[in-house]
Amino acid sequence: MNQSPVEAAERSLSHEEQIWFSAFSHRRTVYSGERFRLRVQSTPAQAQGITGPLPRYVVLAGTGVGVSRTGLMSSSVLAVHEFNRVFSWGVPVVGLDEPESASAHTGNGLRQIVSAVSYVASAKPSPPSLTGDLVQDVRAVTNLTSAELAAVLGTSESEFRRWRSGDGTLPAEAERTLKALRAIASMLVGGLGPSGVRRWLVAEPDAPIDDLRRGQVDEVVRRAEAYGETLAT
Amino acid sequence: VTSAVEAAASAVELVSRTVEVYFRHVFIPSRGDPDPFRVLAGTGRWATPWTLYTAPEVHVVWAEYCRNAASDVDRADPTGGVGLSTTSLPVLAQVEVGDPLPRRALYRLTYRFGQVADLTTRANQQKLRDAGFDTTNFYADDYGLCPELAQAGADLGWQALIAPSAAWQPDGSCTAVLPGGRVALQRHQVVVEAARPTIGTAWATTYRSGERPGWLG
Repeated sequence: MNQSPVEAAERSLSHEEQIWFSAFSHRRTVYSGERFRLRVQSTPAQAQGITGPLPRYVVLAGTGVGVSRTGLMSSSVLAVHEFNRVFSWGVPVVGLDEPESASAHTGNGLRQIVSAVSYVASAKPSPPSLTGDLVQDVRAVTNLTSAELAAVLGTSESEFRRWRSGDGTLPAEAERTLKALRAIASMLVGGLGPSGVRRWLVAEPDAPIDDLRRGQVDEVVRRAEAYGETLAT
Repeated sequence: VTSAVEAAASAVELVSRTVEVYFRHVFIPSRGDPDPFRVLAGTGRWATPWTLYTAPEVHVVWAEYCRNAASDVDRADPTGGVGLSTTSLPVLAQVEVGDPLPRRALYRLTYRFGQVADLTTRANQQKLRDAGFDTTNFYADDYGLCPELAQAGADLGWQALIAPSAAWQPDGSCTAVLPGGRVALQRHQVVVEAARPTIGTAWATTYRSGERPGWLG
């Protein structure tokens, strides 16, 4: 009879270590008791994005594959043992089944759970193709609308459209601002994608687009360049 | 570097480490591969002319990112202004903090250090205090005397230092690779090409005074 990795893991454990181990696509994490049940939210898409080592104590739901700090496991055994060790430390009950008893909601228990799934992998945004047409390029890397671009340039949308529909010549100051905007967005688009860059520019409070309106380009550049470093704080 | 800090650095007991793995989140450029060894000279808590910030635990890496990008975490508010509650937090904890927080690549770096100052041990923290170095500097928002200690240690040949993480308190730690530790690199590899911290990580992070995003509660 074929065994799932989880079944094989359960069978490999001693009676004292026996656990109920399930990894379904529930949107909850549940820990309970000496004999615990574990459900970890994850998606097959996330699982497919995994190519290397992950944090300890993570189970990719829906795949039945355990993952330990040392890498993707062909068997769940080590991961299960790792989980068992965590629970032997006394993680409190958290989750759907007993939400009111979850003192861990604000305590160390939830921190322990948070540390198990501390990030979400996603596809790397594709860089947009730039044509050399300044306004088109700015739109490509920022997803800003004509109205938003006009506001950055301190003009009306209709005036901005007139510039575009004429011979294509922009006032010198507007051209400089758009070049700066294209350069700044190009720094960020790798991690955000164009829609994320737009959100980065307009989200309050302290929206960088307000600094651009005020001509404070250097401040926006400073904020964008800060992502280049990885600091310990 | 003052003589008092030099004395404190001299008091620290060094250890060697066999092969150790550290993690680091890295800026994603628009084109080309991320550079996991890109540093800005003289920046961060353990600033020297070349300090590479890493952490032995992945969740600490992401907490450090949240703390350092607190304004973006704030602006990302995935609750639409409602804020997290004890009821919604367990549900949302594993959802990513979205735009405008930029995604980062996650790298795994393997080092074999000969001279590491582990400042997380009670013994070394006592030695620092005995030498007049206040260990609350480890958590000071303005970094306190930490950069001086790092420079003094680098001058003494420390290849890396391990220190408590201000972002994941009380039990997180960071590893700052100092200039002398560059040669100790064994290998590096990408773990994830693009990722963002979860809401739970953002919630569990300790921020600088006055910088904790309001929606985290």
